[in-house]
Amino acid sequence: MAGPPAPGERIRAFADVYGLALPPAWQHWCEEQGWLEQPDEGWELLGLLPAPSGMDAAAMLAGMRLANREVPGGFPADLIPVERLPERQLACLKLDGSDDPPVVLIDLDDPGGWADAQLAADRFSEFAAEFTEQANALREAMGFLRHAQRAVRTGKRAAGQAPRPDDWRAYRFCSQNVVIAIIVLRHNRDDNVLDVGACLVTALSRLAQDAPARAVCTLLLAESYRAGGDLSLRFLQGTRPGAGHVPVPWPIARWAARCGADIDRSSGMVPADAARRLFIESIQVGDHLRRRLRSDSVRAEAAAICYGMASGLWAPAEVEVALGWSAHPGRLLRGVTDPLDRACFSADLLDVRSALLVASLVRRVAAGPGGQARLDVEDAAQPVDLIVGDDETCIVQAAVIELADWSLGPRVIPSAGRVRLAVADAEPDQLRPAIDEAVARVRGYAADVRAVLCPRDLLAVERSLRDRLVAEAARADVYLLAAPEYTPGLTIQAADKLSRARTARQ
Amino acid sequence: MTERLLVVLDMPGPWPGSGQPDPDGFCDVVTAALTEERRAAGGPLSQEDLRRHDAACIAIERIARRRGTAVATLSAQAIRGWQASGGAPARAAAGFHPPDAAPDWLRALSRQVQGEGGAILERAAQRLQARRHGVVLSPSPVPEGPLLVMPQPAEVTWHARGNPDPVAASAFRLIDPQWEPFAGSEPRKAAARRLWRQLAAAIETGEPLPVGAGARHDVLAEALRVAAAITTRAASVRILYVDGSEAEPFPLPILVPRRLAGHGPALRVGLMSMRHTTMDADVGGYWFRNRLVSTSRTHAETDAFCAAETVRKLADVYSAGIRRVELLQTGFEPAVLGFYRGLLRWLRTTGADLVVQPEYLVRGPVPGTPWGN
Repeated sequence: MAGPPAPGERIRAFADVYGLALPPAWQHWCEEQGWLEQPDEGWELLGLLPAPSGMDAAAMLAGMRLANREVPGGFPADLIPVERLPERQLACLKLDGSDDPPVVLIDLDDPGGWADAQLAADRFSEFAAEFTEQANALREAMGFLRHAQRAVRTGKRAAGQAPRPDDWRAYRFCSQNVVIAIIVLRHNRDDNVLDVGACLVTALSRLAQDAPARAVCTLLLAESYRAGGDLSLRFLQGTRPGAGHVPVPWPIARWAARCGADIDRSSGMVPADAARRLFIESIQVGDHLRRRLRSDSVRAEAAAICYGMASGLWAPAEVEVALGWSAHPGRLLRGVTDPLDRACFSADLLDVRSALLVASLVRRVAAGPGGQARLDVEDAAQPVDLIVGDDETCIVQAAVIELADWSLGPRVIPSAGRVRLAVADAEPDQLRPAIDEAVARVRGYAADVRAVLCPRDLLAVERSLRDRLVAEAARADVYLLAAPEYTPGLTIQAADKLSRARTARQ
Repeated sequence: MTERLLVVLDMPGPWPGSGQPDPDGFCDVVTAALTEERRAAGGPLSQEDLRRHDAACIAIERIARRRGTAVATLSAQAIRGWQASGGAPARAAAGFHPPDAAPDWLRALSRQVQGEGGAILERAAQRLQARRHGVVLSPSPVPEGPLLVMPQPAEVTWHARGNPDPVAASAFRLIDPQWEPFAGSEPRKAAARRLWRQLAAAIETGEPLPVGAGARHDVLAEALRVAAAITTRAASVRILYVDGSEAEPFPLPILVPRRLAGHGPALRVGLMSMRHTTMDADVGGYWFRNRLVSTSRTHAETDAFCAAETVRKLADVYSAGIRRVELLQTGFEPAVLGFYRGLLRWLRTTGADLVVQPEYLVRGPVPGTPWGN
């Protein structure tokens, strides 16, 4: 809903009072509409006439300048508030002398960050268009929900009935107490595309730039993959049959442009190739793994691998190890091998067990020295880099790698920032040759702290043999580490992961 | 890249059926693993069955490492390559081979091995045959005995490529089916035309037809039915489900029902229970139990299970005098394809005069093209 045009004298008066040179694009917008409002939630894009809440940009600016007069430097003179956001945030025009200036997000509780505010849109006209898009999307989402509630009330649909992939359904996507996105989607069987009937993406200054768009892309593309689509997305104006397409939402289009995915925003489509690229760039992994995913060698499996990580089946460290060490990583991560083909399946189990052991160590390092390892990504105390080489060794890097409690024998692994690692994983009766092999692999890297990671079974082997193994490793200046997992548990975990990977897409 | 090694162990047993004492339980664990393999032949295994098989194989390998004698070592990748080459025997990648099968397996393997390895395996096969020993393959971090060298394919493909059939494909392209069952639904007609083009392309190139994400189950069934009717020579189309699993190629024989209404009572069924409960009053029962179909397995396995179930049930239904089955067809492509695959298999085997009349739900039930001998 738009307000009436603001009179020219009111606009000029505002400029004169504050000594501002109003940018023509915003001035023109104010001359066409006094404000915009989203009726369901009462969002307002402020102009120079009082919006339904009674607020306008002039009043807001006056309030900000008055309320922040104690703040050093006061409220920045080059900002004009145009939208109140949740969590005490504001969207403001940043007067940089251009005709169509950028819009930035500021946090009222963080005056120190005002000078370096996060960019919400490159131009006000884009911001206003995005406001309208999001307002329409919210109206469609609310309309869909009311329709679904009515269907339940009238008995057309059971309240607890889970929607099928090709049913329209709404998601509210949250991180802790922040709504990142509201999405209405379905898999369109006729055109083999994921239809998005409404897509609202949050913009909060406390979130990293593009973080909401990345999360939403991950959700949409994972959903598309799971439903059997080729990853392509189509944005529609609501869920009614025959609904026309709408442009790709600005946050997604901006993110796609930044990560080099080739999409035409106005077409409302994200084609399969661009979607694959977007999936790879959106998934939360380190640079090294992302480079591997971009490579042509995993092109055919990239979507399956990204989905495996997005769904929590595979940890990024496990994928990194599989891609580096497995002879057939794509098949491994999709769980293709028939478990009855034991000769091949046992090799897959060993590959996954190695990946599990390394991932376990990465989680331990991420928890930090003495960390109480509540190891969600968000709980990680320090970032960890894992670089997996083709020679069956890997490098673990972090600010502090403290693994004394995993060390065997009197020689405790020193605290370091970088450890060269090999894995000795085998059945308990094969540990000795497995350790010998692993020690030989890391022996040459004399510049690094070197360690061989074993399953916990090492603690159960005969004492004299264990002491001998530790002593032999020590002679090569290699430390033996015992992970918390025992072989039987590792095997069960590995088989379970392979089984879930086989049936992930249905 | 990790080359996972497998040691080929000459294992004296006791193997099942030998009647020898079994102090370390070797015979028991082999029997347990073989039992699961036998079950797998009757349909896909449950997770619990797979766990039992896995546990049995771990025990077999552990005992064999203690009591067996290393013959040679090869890589798991080599076994994969052998399997993918299309020339490998059944159970080529099994973890053990009892005495009656071990010499043949070793000889088949020896034909793939380069250099001295072939002779080593041939001698081992003779020795095994003379002593009634079997073979166990155990993963090992280091090679034991000679390391066998086998040719590595440039790319190990999971499924052998199908045979391109441009002649059959051209027949498909000459025909423009009218898709009468979908007269009331333009989207379905469009999907059917699209699927028809995909079908022709799949047959022409020998590539699989993707199933499950694009055309709906009713469009798919109708297209396969039309294809079956126009095929003038034995052809088949590869089926690739959305989960990446490939089912057996779907046969497309000449199949036009001679009698549209079989004599005797008809049976009206839905495809799968507990999915569209509003249909309960319209049908006499459901062909598949949801609980048995919707378990954790690949779509190709579900397809195979449904085909086997259908063959079994058709025999029962036919012997009860039913000559016409009216199928109110609902979704889940592996079950749909499994049903028709089982139907074709049973019809071909028995030559019975049974007709299946599908009904699709396109704004109400719409009769599809009937299937039968």
